[in-house]
Amino acid sequence: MAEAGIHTAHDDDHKPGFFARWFLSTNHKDIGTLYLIFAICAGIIGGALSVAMRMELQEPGIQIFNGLASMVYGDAGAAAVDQGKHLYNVFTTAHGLIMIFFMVMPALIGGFANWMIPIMIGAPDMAFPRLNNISFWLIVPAFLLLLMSMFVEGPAGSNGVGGGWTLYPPFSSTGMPGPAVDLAILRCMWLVFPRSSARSTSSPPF
Amino acid sequence: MEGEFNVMNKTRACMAALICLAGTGSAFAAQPQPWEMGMQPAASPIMHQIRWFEQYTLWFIVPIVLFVLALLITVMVRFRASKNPEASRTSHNTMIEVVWTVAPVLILLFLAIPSFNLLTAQLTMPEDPKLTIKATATQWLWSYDYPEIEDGEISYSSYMLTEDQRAEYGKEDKAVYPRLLAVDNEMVVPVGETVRLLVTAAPTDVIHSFAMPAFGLKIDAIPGRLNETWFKADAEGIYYGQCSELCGKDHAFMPIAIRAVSAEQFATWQASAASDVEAANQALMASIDNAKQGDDAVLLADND
Repeated sequence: MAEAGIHTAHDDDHKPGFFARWFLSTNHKDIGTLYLIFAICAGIIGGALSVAMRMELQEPGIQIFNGLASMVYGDAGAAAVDQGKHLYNVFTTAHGLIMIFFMVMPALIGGFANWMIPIMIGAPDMAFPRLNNISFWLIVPAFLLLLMSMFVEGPAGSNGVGGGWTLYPPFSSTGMPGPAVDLAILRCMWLVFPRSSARSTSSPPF
Repeated sequence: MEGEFNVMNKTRACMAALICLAGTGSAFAAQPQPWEMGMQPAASPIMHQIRWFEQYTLWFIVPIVLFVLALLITVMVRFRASKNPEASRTSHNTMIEVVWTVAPVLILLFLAIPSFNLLTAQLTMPEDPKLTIKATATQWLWSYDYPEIEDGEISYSSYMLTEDQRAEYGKEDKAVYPRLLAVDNEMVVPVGETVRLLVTAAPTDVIHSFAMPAFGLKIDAIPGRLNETWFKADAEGIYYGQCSELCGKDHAFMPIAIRAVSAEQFATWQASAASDVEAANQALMASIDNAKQGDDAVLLADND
């Protein structure tokens, strides 16, 4: 090693502090671990939404979501049932988006691929390690945007996006004039950057 | 192929009819059944073709799955590390590459040709339609228009029947008018006639989808767009479907019901429906009940 002399001048057993290691990391293994932790958290939240949906579907009729809606909006009777129906669609929409974009894809591509592919092909790290870092740190606010969209107005008088994970217009546009859809779409944009540009360019050169 | 196809269709239609007769004991009613595992019995030529195609593809996919499974098991057993410590250095084999390229191409050809036939059949009406009906979706109901009727246009809305409306509409029988599927005013069509169906959504509305499983029918209802399809009901009875594109809070509560009736019953209904749909429907239901009682009487007389 020609540079061996230079290296001896530094501390070879360099251990970054907690913040530097987990927040500023360019190490594909650390970033892969972060992705896996994130995917587990998102999976628990998405799974909890699914539990509520399954509870509702245990019996015919509407028995859980009208109660949830009256807790949120304070209405009772037929109004709560109507809001509960929308809330159910909000849950299915958020569940679908979370499970695919914030659990399966981060775990599969961000977690396992980040960890394994450089090792499998014998590369020292990803081709663009800093992009790899920002890819992860854009997913976190994207997830927060999606969660926020459940709590701001979607269609007049109700909260959240109930348009299904495809977000087809005009149901997701004129059908829901509130800012909830904007947040959900913004979430997509925040995800597009890490997914398409960073994920592909930070992959090792195949 | 064509002849075989028809024989298969006829056999299957007979079986489907028998199953239905055994299941309901009354008119052909196509609706989901408890613990239903397969598709609903076919009740239109297209659905017979779809079911034939489904069986046909199974003849390909099942052997392929078994073949791949056998290959995987062979590889795992024969080439396990203890038995096969020295890995093979084979890098290519021209014969095997030709085989695994040509065989899938042939399989795809065998799948593609009947698949395109089916697609063409779905998009092409076999004859000039006897009747045109326009179905318009709105949040959250269907409206049906019969624009080519001479005695004045028939146009009405079809809402889901709520439980407290059953008595008012004379639809207490839950076997025929199931909860969340029955509607107040069904789409009425003559049995055995080609019906052209135009599907759209109200101009300021969202996307819906018109689906009728027993007819093999599913077509989007898009605002500002007129989608055309067709169907031909094989047997008299009520057929149920549901909106199939998420359209908001009452997406699950805008069912589609089509009532196929005899040509005479349809003519009578059509004559009075232009002025009063609800009365025409009541009269139609009464005439169907009468016909059924007549059949039962004949059956009883035969038994004596």
